[in-house]
Amino acid sequence: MNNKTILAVDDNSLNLDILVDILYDYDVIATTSGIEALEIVNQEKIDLILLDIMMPDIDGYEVCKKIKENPHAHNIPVLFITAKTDKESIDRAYTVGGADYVAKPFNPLEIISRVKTQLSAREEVIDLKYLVEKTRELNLLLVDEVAESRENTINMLSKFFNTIDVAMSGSDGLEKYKKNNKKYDIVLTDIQMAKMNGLSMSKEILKINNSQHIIVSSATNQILGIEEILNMGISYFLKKPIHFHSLTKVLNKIMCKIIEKNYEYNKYNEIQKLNNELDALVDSFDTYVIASRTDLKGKITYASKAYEIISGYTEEYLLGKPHNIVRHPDMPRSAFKEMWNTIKEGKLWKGDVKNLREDGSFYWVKAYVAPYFDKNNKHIGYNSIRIDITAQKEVEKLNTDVTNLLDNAGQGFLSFNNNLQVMEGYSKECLHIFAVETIVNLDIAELLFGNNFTYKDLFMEGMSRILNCEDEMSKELFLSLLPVEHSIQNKNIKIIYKLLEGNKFMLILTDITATKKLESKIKEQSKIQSMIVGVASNRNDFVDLKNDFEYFMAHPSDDITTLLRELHTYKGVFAQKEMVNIVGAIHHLETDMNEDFNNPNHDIQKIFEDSKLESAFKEDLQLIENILGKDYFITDNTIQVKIESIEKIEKQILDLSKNNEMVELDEVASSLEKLKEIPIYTMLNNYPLAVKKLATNLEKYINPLEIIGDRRLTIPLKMKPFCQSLIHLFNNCVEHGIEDIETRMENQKNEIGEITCHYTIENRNFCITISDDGGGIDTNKLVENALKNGICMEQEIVNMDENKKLFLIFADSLSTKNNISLTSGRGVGMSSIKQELDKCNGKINIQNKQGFGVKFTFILPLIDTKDKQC
Amino acid sequence: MLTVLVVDDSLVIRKILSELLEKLGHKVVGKAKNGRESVDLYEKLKPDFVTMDITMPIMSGIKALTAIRGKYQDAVVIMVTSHGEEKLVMDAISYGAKGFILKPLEEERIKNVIDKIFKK
Repeated sequence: MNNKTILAVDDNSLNLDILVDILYDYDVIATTSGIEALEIVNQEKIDLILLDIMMPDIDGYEVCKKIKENPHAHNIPVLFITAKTDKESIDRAYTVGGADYVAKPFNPLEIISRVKTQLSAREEVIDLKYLVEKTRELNLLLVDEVAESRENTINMLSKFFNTIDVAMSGSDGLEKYKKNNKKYDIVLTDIQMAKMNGLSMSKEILKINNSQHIIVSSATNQILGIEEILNMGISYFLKKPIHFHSLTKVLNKIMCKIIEKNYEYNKYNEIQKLNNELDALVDSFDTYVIASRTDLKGKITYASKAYEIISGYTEEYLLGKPHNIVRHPDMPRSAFKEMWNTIKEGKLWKGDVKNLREDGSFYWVKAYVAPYFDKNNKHIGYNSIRIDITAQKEVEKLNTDVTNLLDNAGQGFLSFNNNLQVMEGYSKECLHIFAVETIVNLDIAELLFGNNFTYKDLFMEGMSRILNCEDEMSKELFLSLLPVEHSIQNKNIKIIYKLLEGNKFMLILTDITATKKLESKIKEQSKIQSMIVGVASNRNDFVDLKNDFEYFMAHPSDDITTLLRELHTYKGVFAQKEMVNIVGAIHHLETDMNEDFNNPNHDIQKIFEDSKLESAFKEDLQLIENILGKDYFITDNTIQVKIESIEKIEKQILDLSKNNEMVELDEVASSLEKLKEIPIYTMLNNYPLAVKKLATNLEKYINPLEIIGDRRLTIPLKMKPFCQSLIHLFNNCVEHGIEDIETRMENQKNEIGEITCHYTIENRNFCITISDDGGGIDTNKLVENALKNGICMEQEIVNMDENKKLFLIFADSLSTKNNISLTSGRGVGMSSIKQELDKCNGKINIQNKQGFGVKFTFILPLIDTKDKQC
Repeated sequence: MLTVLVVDDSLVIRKILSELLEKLGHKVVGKAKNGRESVDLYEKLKPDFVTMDITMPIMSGIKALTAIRGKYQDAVVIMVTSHGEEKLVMDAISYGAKGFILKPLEEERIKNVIDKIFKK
């Protein structure tokens, strides 16, 4: 049913019946009254009005005019039905706004055709400019045997079409049509022609191309067989003579169809293209996206190609299998439980999943699983896509491994940027070293050096130089100048600096506290070892020394000078034995005593008693006992006899012998004498080591000292203190005698110094010579010091010869060296030698050659002579 | 074998360093006892490198370094230094010193410094 409504107005109700009959396809409202018609257009929605002209109440022209003035109806096309076909009547019909006219009596086809034309033309307003433009791309075949009519048409179409080919007859037209295959978009043909009429030609053409647009025209309306082609919907009828108005209408209609067809064609192409793109997309999806789909129970219903490749299974194999076919045993079941809980609620689940490949190996994916629904929104399964993150996981694992490695290396690894701020990523040990919770963004200089401004300053200076330096080698050099060891939080930390890309730095921190402790322990141990060697190499000597010292501590001399001198000698002897604690303790005591020396209220005795001498000595003895055994100092078969006791016995024997001429007594006396004899060599053999040690400490280059003399020679025991006091002379030689290497080189002397020691027994005298090839004694300095310390007065000096001045070296409280050291410089050392020498009635000879050395010769008589000499 | 100019105010250091350098296969072509001498000797001898003490009388090592490098931009100068002089060494490096030898003088240490500079 056509839903268009037509208003038919005719005073003759018979005519109305005919019209209603013809237009059975439409809703027709019929009226015999013009006035009624005008009311109807206001009430009903009318698409077309068929209007008789000659009517009694109000004529058709007037009705049309009123309709065109009515704003609700002026759009409705008016088709006049009239018997008056004179030019004047027709013109008037168009003038009042008529769209077209149909002549009476009715030709039903014409009516239908005109009605159709009017109804379809109703909405279209022909845009001629547009039409001309569009048809310029088209070709027309015009078939008409009447020249006048042809020219008339060509004239009308002068602005239209690309080409207009002309044929004089139907057969001519058909021939041209066939010849120029597919050239013509539109064929316009007359029907009445001698050689093949238009309809026959049209039928032939439609056989060739059933969608060819054809316009047929005829002067008469009733043409047999025209319906056949008009019904195909691609052909149009134009009444002759052809009016421009109706021609353009038809052309417009055809144009619309052509454009529509083109549009559809384009649309089709577009869809085709989209389809192709979609196919490619689906293909890519299949190839590259690891995707699968399962039913509600988790059985696989789809698996992409990528899925097949990564899992190692074919889709064929996978279909229908449960999805847990790729479950890796490493994945905890709880992970899947969580996934199912999520997706069952209709939510998206995502997570990293380790999957098992067909060959038993594994791969990691980031999976997204979501439920999917059919058209009716019914939940029917699950979709999932995955991203292969195996490589990423491998890197992550590697990172974790490396971090673990660094964390367990027991070293601090950290990096900091050019603002000297610690960056993310450091080993745990760092927190332990700095004793903090975190170090990120902290200032590295502050962390490392805190309040040590010297190091901090050096570090900042170095950093600023590196950051402002282009040369890589210089950067490295600057780095190597930074502090490499520092105490952080009471730990000794070794710092290694590395330069990273982009002005970043890496630090490797190692806690070397334990190593340092071990080192110092080893040092201490080796000190003890040296002491033990010193002690053990001459046990008896040491036992004597120990007893002597213990006696000395128990019975200190009342005379402070003597006390100091004795102390000083003990210090030298203990230093020779490399005692660990007692040397320092004596040195301490000496310093304290000297400080108090000039105090009028001094109580040296008290200072001596308060000193740590005894405990320090006990500690040393303990150390020795720990190694050599508790019994080391216990003498088994020997009895300690004081020299004084022997001398007492000697005296008694001597007294006895005066009264009794007994030979035996002489023998006893000589045996006793032997008891008091000691080998000279054992008295001196400690000195080479002492000299070597001191030389090393003072960075002096000295040849090894050799004690030259007959090892069988002995001297009386009473000379032992003298021999022990010689340590002061040796110390003096090393410290003040031998010059430093530089001075020696400048003075063209042998770079390495020489100290010699000879002993012999000549004419019942013990002679010992000690010399060095150093700078000799500067007597001017000796004199200067002697005056300063009040040893002698200036007028005394005037009368002194060079030799006398040399002897000032043995005066108390004097030393040519102004500062005091652990070994010499107290000013009591040399005087103790003189003291001991005097006890033995010995003599000294000094040969001094300034710049070349000094030679001391001591001569000690073995037999007591009554006349004492000095 | 490289030719060396040894600069140090200490006779001993000059001697010890020269011995060590010769032991390492280099030829000590000159010795200077202060900065000024070293500048004159450098011009005369054009050695492959110079060992330069940092603290010297008359003209310091750094002044001598700048004087030499001012005239000869390719001059290779190695500073000889002790602990506590780090900042002076940094100055020297900024002025173009190619390396430094830390006292006490040790053969291995000296060898490493020279090898690094001459890319052995």
